[in-house]
Amino acid sequence: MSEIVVALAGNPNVGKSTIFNALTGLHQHVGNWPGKTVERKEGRLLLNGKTVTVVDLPGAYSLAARSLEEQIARDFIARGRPDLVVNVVDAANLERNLYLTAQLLETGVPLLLALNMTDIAASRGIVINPAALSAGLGVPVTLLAASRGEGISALKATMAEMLARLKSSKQMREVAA
Amino acid sequence: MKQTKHPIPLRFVDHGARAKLISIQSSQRIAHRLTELGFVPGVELSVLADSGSALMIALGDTRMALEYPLTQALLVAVLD
Repeated sequence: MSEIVVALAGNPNVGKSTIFNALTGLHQHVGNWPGKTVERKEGRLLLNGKTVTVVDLPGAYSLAARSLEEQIARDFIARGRPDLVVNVVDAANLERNLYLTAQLLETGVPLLLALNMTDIAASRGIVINPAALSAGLGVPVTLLAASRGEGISALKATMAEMLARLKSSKQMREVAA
Repeated sequence: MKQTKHPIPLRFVDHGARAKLISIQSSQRIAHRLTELGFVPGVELSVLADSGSALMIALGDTRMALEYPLTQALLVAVLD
């Protein structure tokens, strides 16, 4: 049985690591990306009885890599082919964040949009309609306020659902081939 | 809201003043990167600090330090 890998991607300072910590708790391993002095954080999470490896990618504004961190994020998504990418976006700065989202969609990798910092956005009067966002982008959207621990269980549930669906479509393709 | 007549480089905007980004005058490569970072024509920004070689810019919730040459490339209209 092959390992299930989920990557967390997003702009710097959107709460990726907060979500990573909330998902993996103490089951973390910190190392370096091969040959690079950029920290690699990996953790394990139990979803519906299956162990999932969660990788916290370095923050990136774009996949057209300009910095080492962005190169690592891009290479992991493009070559590492994670089973699922959770794109963490800052609800209070949605416009800039969606640029990376558009690029992630173009790679064709299975994507889940985690709309974080909804508490800060709400305090500014920013109300986001997740259903409209999901319909527009064609990917599931979940709402979080990760610093308060809100929305983590909903995120896990959506991740489990997507991974189950991806697995069954993968098996169908294998049977067809 | 009144705007200055001619866009000026962000470099010459007073601290604390609000400005609207009009255009980016630089190579394609640099303009592309600035756009990725959120410097999209139409956004409002302000100068928070000047280190003597770089400016600290507020762009929404984001704070970014840009070296003088880059701040020269960003043409803005000062808002008051």
